[in-house]
Amino acid sequence: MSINTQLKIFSILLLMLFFDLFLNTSISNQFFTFSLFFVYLFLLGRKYFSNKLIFLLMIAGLFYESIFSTNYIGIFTASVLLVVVLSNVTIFFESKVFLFIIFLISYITFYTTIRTSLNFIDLNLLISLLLNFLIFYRIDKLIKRDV
Amino acid sequence: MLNRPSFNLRRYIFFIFAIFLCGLIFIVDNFTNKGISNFIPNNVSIVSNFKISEKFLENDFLMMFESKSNLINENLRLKNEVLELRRLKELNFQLTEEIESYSQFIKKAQLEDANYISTRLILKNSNEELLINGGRDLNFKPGDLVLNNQYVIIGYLEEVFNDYSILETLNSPDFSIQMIDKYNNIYTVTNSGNQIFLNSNADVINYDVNDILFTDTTLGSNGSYPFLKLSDFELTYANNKLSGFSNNIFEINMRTLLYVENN
Repeated sequence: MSINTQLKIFSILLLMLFFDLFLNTSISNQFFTFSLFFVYLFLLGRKYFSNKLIFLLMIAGLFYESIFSTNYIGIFTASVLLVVVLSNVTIFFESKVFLFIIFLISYITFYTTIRTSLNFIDLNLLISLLLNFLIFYRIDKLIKRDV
Repeated sequence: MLNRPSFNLRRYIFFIFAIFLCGLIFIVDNFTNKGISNFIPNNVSIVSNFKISEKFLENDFLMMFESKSNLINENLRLKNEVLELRRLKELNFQLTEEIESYSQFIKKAQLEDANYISTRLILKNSNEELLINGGRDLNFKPGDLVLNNQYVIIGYLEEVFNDYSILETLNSPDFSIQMIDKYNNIYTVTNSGNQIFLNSNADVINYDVNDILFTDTTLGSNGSYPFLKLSDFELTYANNKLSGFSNNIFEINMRTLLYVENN
């Protein structure tokens, strides 16, 4: 992975982070949440997985935690890394059901670390999960087609 | 058909190390009482650095195009003027809104001897906490109550940094505040993530469903400010204890003016 690609990935990571926050602040509602940052992480793990990503992901994660969050630093960054690892596991298996299950596990893991309380039978969580999976699936297909 | 690579755990070894490193950072942060996580926001003014300078808004850089044809220049100048007019219109609307909000707020707030500093929402984080403008630069302190223009509490400051603060509202899962009613019954209001809960701290003998809950100096607040009505909750009275829940959600957007009660 060239420096150029790394810079591009890092810029998009930060952009997604801000855009995600901005979007959910502007369209504040109780029914669903757009998780563009999460979707981007999942795509990153499937398409650009490399050890060189670790540093970029850690910087972005620690940046988010130290500025936007009241939680202790480190946990969100660990979950960011875990999402990328889990998403990369999906490339070894072709099943869509497996892909959805891994997406579900990653999504819940990711939001458990961000939110101090998470209701697993929450309508918001279910709608957001499906919505973000559809966004991810659509983009993933588009990327494959381009390749 | 493409050959899929075989699964190999060694591929993730550096990621696993990094996850452990994050765990280590978490432990250090825990033991240093957020010494690491609060280092940047306590030492760097982040929000004020993002303010767009007036010079940029004035579009001085258009001077660079002087050498180009007059037509392009004229076009740009007109475009700029239209943009400026739009900006002024927006500013005018915003100021009118602010004046109305101030006058509404002042009418209700004149009884209380406290400073009110107006602020606005910057962003909402994923834990439903709000980042608002102003921090230590405006003398905000953790625990300061935040009111809306109806003089009603919408939350309190959880953490205060150089130039921004984190506001816990009723929608935040970590929200917890103590309130009192006219019969001096004390209640704790908390949030479970998607519902607001009310629990009386001691036995409740008398209560009025239409009563409004207030903060009080005896509960550590700087004054008496209204909160929700008891009727906003689905109440249950059992064993001399009053409890209830509510699905009431406060809508706060970037245009909502907030007032930080500051003593």
